[in-house]
Amino acid sequence: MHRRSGESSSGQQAARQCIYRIEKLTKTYGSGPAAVHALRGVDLDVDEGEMFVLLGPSGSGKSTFLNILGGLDRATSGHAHFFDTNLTDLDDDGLTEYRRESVGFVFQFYNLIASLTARENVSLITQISKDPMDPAEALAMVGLQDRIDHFPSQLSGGEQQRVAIARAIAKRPRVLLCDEPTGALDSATGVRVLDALDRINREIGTTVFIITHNAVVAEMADDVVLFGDGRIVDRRSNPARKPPLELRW
Amino acid sequence: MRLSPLTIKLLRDVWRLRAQAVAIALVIAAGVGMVIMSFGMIRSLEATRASYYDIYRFADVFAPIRRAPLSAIATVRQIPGVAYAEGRVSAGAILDVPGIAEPVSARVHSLPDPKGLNLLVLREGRLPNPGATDEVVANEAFAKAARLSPGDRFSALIYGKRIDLRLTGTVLSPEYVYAVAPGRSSRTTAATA
Ligand SMILES: Nc1ncnc2c1ncn2[C@@H]1O[C@H](COP(=O)(O)OP(=O)(O)OP(=O)(O)O)[C@@H](O)[C@H]1O
Ligand SMILES: [Mg+2]
Repeated sequence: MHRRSGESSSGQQAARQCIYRIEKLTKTYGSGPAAVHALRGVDLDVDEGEMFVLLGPSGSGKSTFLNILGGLDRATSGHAHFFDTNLTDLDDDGLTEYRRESVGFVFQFYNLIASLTARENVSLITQISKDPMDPAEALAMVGLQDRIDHFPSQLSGGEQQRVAIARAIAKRPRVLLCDEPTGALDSATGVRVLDALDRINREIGTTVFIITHNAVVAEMADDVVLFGDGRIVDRRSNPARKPPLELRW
Repeated sequence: MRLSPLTIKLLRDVWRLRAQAVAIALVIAAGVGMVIMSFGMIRSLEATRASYYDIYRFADVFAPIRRAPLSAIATVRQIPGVAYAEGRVSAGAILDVPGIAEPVSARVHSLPDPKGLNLLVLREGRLPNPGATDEVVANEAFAKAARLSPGDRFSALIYGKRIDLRLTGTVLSPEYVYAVAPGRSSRTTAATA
């Protein structure tokens, strides 16, 4: 569907492709006086291989925005281009194919299958992907090479979240969308999860979006976007990314 | 062949629920067994009934003619569609059975032709000897209700005439599934020589 732009780690500034071009995106739930305007016109350009952190108060539209980027939800108006594809034009089958080929999701709750080991949870996805990693390789990327044959109940919350990340990246998606991935974790465990995301972004060039309520996390990003009341109220770039393992909160 | 993760999940989940799975399988097996058994039972009952009616030559349809002379049989046999006609003597009777205070009402028939229809099934004892005028067999249920068994003697009032009879056996007749006196719902009926 799309050609990969080769090496695109965050260090290289040259000739990066624009992975998302978002224009005047709105999303309204319901209609009439009860309508909820979750997004009121969002514009954003995203270069491939970037690490994005999305901040903002509860209800400001962060999840809604990420769900539209990931093809889980549809915009009410506006455009969201993924390379040359306009996501707002795709039908359900098109969105399903887009999600399956190009998007990895990580949520606050890990959604692992309890009766499958870490490796089996990951191979569930590699079985239906075109050019997947070996499950063991994906688990090694998140630092779980020693816990491959453990069941979710034998893993800590942070380890389970890293299995979920390995599962999301094993199909080599172009983009990894994470909605509060450390929301249920303490600081020490959370930074290891963020470190896994950082490593994936640097080593295989996956574009990463992280929604968080924790402003400290913003320091590990290339770009920080602040949401407020359905709009982007601030966007800034960090001069340098701070390694996640140095973050404390 | 390597199992897919979904197959592994299925097997592990079933193993974890093995007690319930076995219990459910047993319940289903018992249910299926019951269904098969009752169908088999119905089929064998139907086969038994069919062969009973077949062996004892129960007519599919029959119609009685009352108070006709024996010579009318030849005429009846001429009627189109009549496969077989047989004459018999049939009368109401009042029995005086030792040990039963009130009179027992009964219906008395001559024995059917052994080559004809609606043959008797001998349950106990023997059929009356040809020509023996005091021998009778009785419907099994009637005999039981009247507390009669083969060898018993009793007297009967038939057309105002008193005769002594001897029970030689009990029988079933495909004609009588359930014996009831005419106009009443109590016990009756016998067949005689
Ligand atoms: N399915 C829905 N139906 C109706 N309203 C919705 C729906 N989903 C979200 N909303 C509303 O849209 C607005 C934005 O929600 P969203 O989930 O995007 O916020 P958020 O920024 O992710 O908040 P949080 O930080 O609490 O997760 C909220 O007012 C929410 O109530
Ligand atoms: Mg949210």
